[in-house]
Amino acid sequence: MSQIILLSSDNVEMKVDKEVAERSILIKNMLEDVGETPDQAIPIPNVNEGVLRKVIEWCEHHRNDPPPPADEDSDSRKKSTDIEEWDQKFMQVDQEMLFEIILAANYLDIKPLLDVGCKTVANMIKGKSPEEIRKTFNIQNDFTPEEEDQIRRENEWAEE
Amino acid sequence: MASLNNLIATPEILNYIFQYLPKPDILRLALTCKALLPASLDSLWKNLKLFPEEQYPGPDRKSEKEFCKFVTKYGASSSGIQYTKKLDVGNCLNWDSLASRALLRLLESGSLQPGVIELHLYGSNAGKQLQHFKRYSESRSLVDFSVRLHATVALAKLADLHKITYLELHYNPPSFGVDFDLEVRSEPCAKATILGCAEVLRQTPKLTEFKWNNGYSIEGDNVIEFNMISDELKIFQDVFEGLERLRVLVISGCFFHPSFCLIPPRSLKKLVVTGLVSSAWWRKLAVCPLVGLETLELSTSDASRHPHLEDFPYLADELPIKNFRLEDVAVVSLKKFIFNGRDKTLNMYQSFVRRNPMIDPYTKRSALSEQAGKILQEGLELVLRELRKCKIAVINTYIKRFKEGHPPPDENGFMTEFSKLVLTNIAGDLPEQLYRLETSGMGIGNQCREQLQGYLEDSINETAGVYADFEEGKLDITEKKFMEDCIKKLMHRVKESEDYVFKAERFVTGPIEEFVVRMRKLQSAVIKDVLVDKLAAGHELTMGIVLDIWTQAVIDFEKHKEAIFCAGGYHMYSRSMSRTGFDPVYVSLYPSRNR
Repeated sequence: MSQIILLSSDNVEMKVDKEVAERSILIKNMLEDVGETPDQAIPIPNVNEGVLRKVIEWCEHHRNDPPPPADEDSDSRKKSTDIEEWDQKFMQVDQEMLFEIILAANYLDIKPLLDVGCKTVANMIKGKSPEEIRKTFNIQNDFTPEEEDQIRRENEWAEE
Repeated sequence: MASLNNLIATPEILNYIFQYLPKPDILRLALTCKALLPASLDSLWKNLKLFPEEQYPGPDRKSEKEFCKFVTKYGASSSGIQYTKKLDVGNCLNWDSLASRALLRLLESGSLQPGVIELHLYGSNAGKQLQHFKRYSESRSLVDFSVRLHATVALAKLADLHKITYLELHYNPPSFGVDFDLEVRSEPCAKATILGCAEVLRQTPKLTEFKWNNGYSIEGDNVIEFNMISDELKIFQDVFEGLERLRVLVISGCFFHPSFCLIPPRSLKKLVVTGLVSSAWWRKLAVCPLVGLETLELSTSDASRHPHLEDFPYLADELPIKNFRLEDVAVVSLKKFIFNGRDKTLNMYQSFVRRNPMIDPYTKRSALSEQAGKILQEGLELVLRELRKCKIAVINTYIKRFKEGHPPPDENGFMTEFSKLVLTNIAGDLPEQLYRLETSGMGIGNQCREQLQGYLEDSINETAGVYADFEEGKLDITEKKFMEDCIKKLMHRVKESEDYVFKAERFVTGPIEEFVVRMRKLQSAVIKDVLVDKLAAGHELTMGIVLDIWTQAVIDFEKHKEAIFCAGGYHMYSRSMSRTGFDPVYVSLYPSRNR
């Protein structure tokens, strides 16, 4: 099994099976463009060591998954937020790491990981009041009561 | 350090999260802080559908008051409405009503300025309303405004055609009457429909998607013969090829005549074909110069299976679709291939995969699945062919065991032994005498000889014991009488003896049937996927390996029961979908013999 080296933003090298790294479409395309397995490390400038290790852990676990289906109807709003048990445990990290993973998945173009991350965030929002959402994500309320009231009135239909 | 702000700064991620949230949750998120408000409002308002559908805004179209209330309440004042990029008004413009007038006022006032409006226009009032809408459409710039129109040919002609990017032409649904449509089943009207459509298309330079459900039918008394409208179809073809921006084409019905295949413009990226197709049509499609086609979707059925085939000599001459190979299909740029039809050509997926290196992984997997399916079919045929030999061999084994007093094994034990026997037999290592000798008369004779000799010995000894006093001269007995008594005792022993052949045969028949049932159940539900995975990983599959995997699964059947159940459920679902969801539009243009 051929291996490649990834270089995190904090200059840590990590050896990974090519097949695992290719869960990232960004890396896959990069390797296809180069045409052969490179000897030098591939820099991943936006992802630090800790996050990159987590991302690789996810890719290792899902190395044999079939590729995700092409989704044309991205605004369906009928998507399930169910998450596999292993992925749920994988996402039991602090919020900072969760957001880092989502950003890394987006940058590295790993759609199934991005899905899991976004579903996790969506599940943290679902069913909560604005105040509870603020508490969950440490958000400062910068609306006046009048502004809040106006937004409610103008979008009342969305509550139906 | 990443926080929610990082996500807010990355709109594509935020939009991704919104996909998993119902609208009430998005509204509550909008209320948390100013930073999240614009993205939340954008998500709530960008695609506004003003007709009833779960989770979308708007009143029930039957309640005009509610509709007007919505338009008045939110339309004029809501800050969200500025985010609306696409407005789908369904068929609310079809009536001269308070609702449609309120909507037009809202559009004309400029407070709602969607980039795209989608209209569904049918019925007697639709033409009048379309005139109003046309005025609005003409007031918008061609650069930042376009229309998606669902209508009949006659209505489409009344639209601001330059603004149309999506056009779906329908035949008139019966519930709306026929005031504005052409009756397609008579020759003059069919000609007018085709020419009308050509006229519409000639004036739609922005058209990128075109769908024509022309409503022709092979049934009915007034089916038009193709040669009557061939000139009109040629005109249509000329116009069609000039649609330089056309990206998506969904066609059905009359384009499936063996003598006519609509050749789409070279700009086409997606082709969806629905209806009854013939292999001649396939051949014509195969040589279409679709150089940039990326998606091909076929929801078709084989014309040669049509119940009224005898009425249509052109169809009767057709080969069944499954006999037609797609090896020579000209397209090499496909990225996605979807097949929803009932009859597929032989090795269809493999043909597409071979010619289209960029094709999606699902089609690649389907090609491997075709390959695996073929191997499995051969495997099953091989097992069934050899099953008789194995059955005889296993009966012979059990005759011996039962005679020796061994109890029968449990079902799993039997499956394990039988699997080994099948594999050995197919590998050619099963000694011939095991399944030949014991079945012949001599075989039975050999089996019984020893037993009979033992019984005879016992009978003689027993009879001799009874006549022990003979030597002392106390009894008068002849040799003949002695032998008769021996035979009586021998017959008694034979009667009492167990029929091991019968017992063994009866014992193995049930489990062997179960063995085959299990093989069949596992075939597509479990083993096919395993083989596809192996093929995808580059493994070479010999019949020995395949049968090894398969028979092991027969032994471990319990483990696979859930997968089999799920697969069965899925297949049943697929079948029911194909019954209800697939509604072929039949060919109308075949010259009929009897008409």
